[in-house]
Amino acid sequence: MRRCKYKVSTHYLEFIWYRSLAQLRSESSRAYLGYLWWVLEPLLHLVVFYIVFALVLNRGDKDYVQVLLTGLVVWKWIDASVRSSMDSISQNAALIDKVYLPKIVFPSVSVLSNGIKFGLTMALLLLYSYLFGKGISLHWVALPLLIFVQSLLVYSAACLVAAVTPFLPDIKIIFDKVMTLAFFMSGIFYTAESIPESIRGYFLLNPAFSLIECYRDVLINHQWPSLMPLFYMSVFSAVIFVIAAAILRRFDRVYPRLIY
Amino acid sequence: MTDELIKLQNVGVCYRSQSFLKSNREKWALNDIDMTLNRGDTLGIIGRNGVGKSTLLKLLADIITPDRGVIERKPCRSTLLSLRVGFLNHLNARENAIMAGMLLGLSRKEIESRLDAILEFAELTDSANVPIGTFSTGMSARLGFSIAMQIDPDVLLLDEMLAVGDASFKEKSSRAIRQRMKSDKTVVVVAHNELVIRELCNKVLWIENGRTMATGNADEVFEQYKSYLAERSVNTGI
Repeated sequence: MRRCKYKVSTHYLEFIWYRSLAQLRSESSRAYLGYLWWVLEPLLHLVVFYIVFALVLNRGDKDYVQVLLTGLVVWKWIDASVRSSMDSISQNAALIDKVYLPKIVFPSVSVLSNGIKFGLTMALLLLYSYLFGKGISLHWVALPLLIFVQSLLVYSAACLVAAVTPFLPDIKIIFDKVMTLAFFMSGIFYTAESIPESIRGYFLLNPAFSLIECYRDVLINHQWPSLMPLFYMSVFSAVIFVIAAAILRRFDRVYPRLIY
Repeated sequence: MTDELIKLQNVGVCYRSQSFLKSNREKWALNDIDMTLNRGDTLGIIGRNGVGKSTLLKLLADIITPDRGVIERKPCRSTLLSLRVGFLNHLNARENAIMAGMLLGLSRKEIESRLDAILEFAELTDSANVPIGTFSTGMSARLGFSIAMQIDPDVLLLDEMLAVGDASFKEKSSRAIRQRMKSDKTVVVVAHNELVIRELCNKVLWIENGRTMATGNADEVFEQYKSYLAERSVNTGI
């Protein structure tokens, strides 16, 4: 019996992996430039922010490109995963009406396919840092830890929004605004030092803010990331994940019956 | 010896639609279903449109759980045979076949080893690497059917007889399905064709308004079903 269960779960892992790659292939074949967009999109994003903040508002110093790039690359994985997870169950309504699948499969596919993109853009960011930025340093060995904590954070948030949205479709609008707020409060186009000391504490409540600061510590300031925020983030994510997974599990066979 | 695979007692399923401003609407798709499925049975489900036949199949496939009543189930895998599950239009026939096969419960290795046979049966070997978005409806139905024929669950659930494609493929696919049903496999089929049910099913279940009206051999159940329909058309004047 136990062996059977194990076999089933590896089957779904295999499916998540295949479906993620298939979605990426499908997505890229839809556009003329295909996979190039994975890189072009963040670059265009960078150009927009550079024009607004460095040229128009005259805010940037010489590291500004690297500051922006780090923020954008890290944010993109969080944002894209959470946004696509919101709809992931209802978009597959026709599918879950015909075959049984554990519903956690759908946010998993969102997180994984966006994670693969993140891996690629992160590699390019490292290349940029090495060639044009602050160069390589021993502190880079902390990156796997940061990526691990980030994946916990992304996965837990994705599962939570995926679990809740089918019951309350209206909440999508709220989640959407929360993500917009999180974006502006995440320090993508400014650093912690540019925020007045008196209100900096509030920013630390935003996990994306702390996470981006950690990446910048490693890639730009060449120092070890502070471990406390990473620890809190991991605990926080784990709690959220347990709640989200419990909802998904409890209502696993109810989701197909919700009327979309 | 009868080996009960799935047993339903007083099962009901309710669909609710929720809205803040309107009062919640409730619709009981199934009210009171009693049925037993034994290993080796070929069970035909009959009834008018909208009486809950498809919902019952979803229960049997373990896709949904009931709001009331009891379902006892031996550890068995029951799969609803469905075409084109999870197809992505921008991917080719091969990739979609692998994904659909995995959704229907095959491992990636199993489906990959049968890929050539699937494409051959679907008569799509030449179009294997073309995005299925460019396929005609018939072509993708053929592909879906061929994939679905690869699965071998303990209980096979069929919504309609699912003969697809053009005349010659229809014949080929209905032959494949009949073969399945005549073997000693456990099959549940929702169908409207009396002749087909009489030929293939050893047991018939008649549902009306989400309730079990009769169950037994085809002669008995069809007799009751027909007299009910006749009476009903007299009463409603249709």
